[in-house]
Amino acid sequence: MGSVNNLLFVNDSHEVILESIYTVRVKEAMNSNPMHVAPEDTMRTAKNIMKENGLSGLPVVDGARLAGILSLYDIMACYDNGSMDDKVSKYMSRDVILLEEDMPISFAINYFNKFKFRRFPVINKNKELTGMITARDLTAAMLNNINKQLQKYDKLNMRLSDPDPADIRSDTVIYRQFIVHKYDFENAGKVTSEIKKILKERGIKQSIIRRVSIAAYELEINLVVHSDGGVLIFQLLPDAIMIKTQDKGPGIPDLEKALTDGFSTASEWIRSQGFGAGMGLPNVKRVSNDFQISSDITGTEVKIKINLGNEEDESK
Amino acid sequence: MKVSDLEALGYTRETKKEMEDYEIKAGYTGDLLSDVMANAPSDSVLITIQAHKNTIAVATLAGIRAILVCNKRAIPSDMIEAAEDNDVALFKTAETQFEASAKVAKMMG
Repeated sequence: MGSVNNLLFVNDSHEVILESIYTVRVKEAMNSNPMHVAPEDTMRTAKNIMKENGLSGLPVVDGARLAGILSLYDIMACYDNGSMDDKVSKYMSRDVILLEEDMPISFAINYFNKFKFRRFPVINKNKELTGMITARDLTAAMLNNINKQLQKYDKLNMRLSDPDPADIRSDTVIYRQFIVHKYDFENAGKVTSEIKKILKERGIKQSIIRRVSIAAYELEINLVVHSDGGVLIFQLLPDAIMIKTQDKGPGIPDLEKALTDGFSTASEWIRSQGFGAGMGLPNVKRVSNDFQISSDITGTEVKIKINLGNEEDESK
Repeated sequence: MKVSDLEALGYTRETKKEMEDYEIKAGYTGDLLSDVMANAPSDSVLITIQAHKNTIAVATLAGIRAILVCNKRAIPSDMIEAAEDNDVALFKTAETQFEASAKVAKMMG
């Protein structure tokens, strides 16, 4: 391939494993309608439920909202210092580490690594308890998802890792291809950092680097937030920078709306993280000299060009 | 003003690593990462409530030197780590973004 440099991938773990970590939601892995007690129940009731069901932790629910959690330690403390007729509210821990049902299970894996607890309560956006999740639930959900993914893996992997020769111009100075995974917020921005580094090393003008960073970052975040995963291709040409993203779906239903400032289809959880403000594609278009987008249910492709020439002549 | 002047304003430094005490020439207040990415000036301080790792990614890309997390938002440890790795100074305060912006702007003159 002549002038094509080595391909650089963001993450070298097996695609199928990463895919399931970032695409399966906590909701799909958790145990719904878990056993629970009310704050005014007695410690005896709580102890019996835990004993009969082999549980080491029991959520405490007030109405529909999660009020706290009761552990075996709390039962022991009650044996030592109180009476089993005491109310649960006296012993429960109110400082509960919890997961939200819309989070990808990468968050749950992270929590199991970070905290010593063996189970976490799961809440919905109204802060109501909807489930409990254990490490065993996580493994089961992941295996299930990996099985499904494997069936379509071969085809998809081929499409993502083989660069299309038509994409590579003969005068390409640098060519890089990066795979970006759905919901991989951990690594979001790393592709753009890599591109920024390349441009800095080449002594590209600061104002151009900023425009490329804005476009690359928004396109990268779009792959993370909206696509089922995809690839970002970066090319440095003698006179311009080209970026192309190609994803595996699900496609943009209304392109005109997607290009409108403020229009967004992001979920509430994604918005709470500061994304999904409906500024992504409009920002990309604004900093690009050339912008092309096409989309159908098999995926979306965005191609942009930023000229290296004199900025004054260019539309911004 | 310098990054260290944020401490003089009473803000708690969360990053413990020794970093260069950069000159801060501007400030930007915002919680939408796309907005920060598109509009925050370089060599600036970002005043925000977005206390997570992705804010550091945006700061690094936009050339932001310091981040001030407002409203007593809890700062996760992976955010502090990412800030130290990328030489972005991280501060926290109980003040709102409005109060903090006013103070920082006043100091910048």
